[in-house]
Amino acid sequence: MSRPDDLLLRRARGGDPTAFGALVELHQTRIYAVCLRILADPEDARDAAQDAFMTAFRKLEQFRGDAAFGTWLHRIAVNACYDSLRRAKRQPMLHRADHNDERALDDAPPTPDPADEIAGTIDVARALALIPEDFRVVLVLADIEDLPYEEIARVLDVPVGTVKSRVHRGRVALARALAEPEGVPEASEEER
Amino acid sequence: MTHPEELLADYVDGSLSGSLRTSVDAHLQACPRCRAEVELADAGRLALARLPDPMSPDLAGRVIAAIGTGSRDSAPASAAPPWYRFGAIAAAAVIALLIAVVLPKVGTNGASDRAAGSGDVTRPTVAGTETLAALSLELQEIDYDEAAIQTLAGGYARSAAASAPGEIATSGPLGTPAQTERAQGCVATAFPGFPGSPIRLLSARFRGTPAYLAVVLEGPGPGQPADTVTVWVADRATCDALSFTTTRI
Repeated sequence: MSRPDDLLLRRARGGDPTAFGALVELHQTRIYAVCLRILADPEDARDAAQDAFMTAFRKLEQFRGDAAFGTWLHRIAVNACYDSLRRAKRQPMLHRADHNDERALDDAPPTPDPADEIAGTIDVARALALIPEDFRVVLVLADIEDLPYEEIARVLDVPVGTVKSRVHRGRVALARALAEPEGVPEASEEER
Repeated sequence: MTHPEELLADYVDGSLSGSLRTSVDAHLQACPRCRAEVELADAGRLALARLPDPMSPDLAGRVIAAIGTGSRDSAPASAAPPWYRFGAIAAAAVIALLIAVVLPKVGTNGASDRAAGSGDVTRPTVAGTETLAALSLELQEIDYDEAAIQTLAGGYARSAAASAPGEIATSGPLGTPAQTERAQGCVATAFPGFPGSPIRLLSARFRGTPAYLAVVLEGPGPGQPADTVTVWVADRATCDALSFTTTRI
């Protein structure tokens, strides 16, 4: 555990609420980025990240310190994202369609110039949102967060080989989604 | 060799070593499917590297507020830290609690750790609770260094000698109450038990590092006139102590 985390954790457990606030501030950029790239919606990401920190807060006494605090937080955040995705799937289709339409309009690049860096970023974010959840999660952790595969395996509680397999297939699916944004990327062989 | 799917991620990363890389190379020579996938995977990896880091909303303020109101609380109180059992009180009460719990650490046992010249300072002498509660975080673009915080302390020493500390003018935009609480807590974390009464709280930089600066008046005892000004500097991200300086009034 890094020294700032260690110090703040001790103080948070000892009854210092501002120390937990400091922990949140220390990790919020990474955790929010994970949630945003998995959920592809700023509001959902903010809520999921907040839920993750609240869960971490409630379970602070259960954190044994046998993993890095950041790894533990990532695990909680990924679970919060899966919860959010499950809730989204349960919503009535009409509501989700409206929601997605709004988001599509908001995210539309002002000019469809493939050389435009911003448009390219939006395309990648959209393509990422199109690929299967399990692939998306490992890609976010591996290629955006730069977590080692072994750490991702701990976060997701799956074998390292499964992580590597999902990373490879996720990258392939992403590239296909970028090439054919309206098509359905490879999803048939998704393993759990 | 069957399709070496688990090895292709490392292959694309360039982290596959010696013999394994040689065997994957051999497989790729003979397998057009894997060769095409490796090209696609490399494109996918590079595309993700282009994604910028998003700006995070102020989750710390939201989480602290939610803790205070208990709005997302579903856990039994016994599973939570002792202070969380106050979760049902309103956010406004939490702010008061923070002021009551954290700031009284000001003026407890820090004198022995202090710089020479501060004397046996053990209690706040100038600012009362009302002043502490009214203290707002000022947002500055200034990048301070050791000389600059000495100048800052010296300026306050001269001002304090000439006027009541509450009359010292502030400048610049102010932070939100949540940001102010965070800054107060961060300084208290960096300098546990520091003595004195904060009269000004700044969010700025110290040698390029985002930092909180607390300007603190200290005196020889309760009700006594302040005789020193200290500027404490805490790392905004980690709440580690970065620097401090003390000047006699």
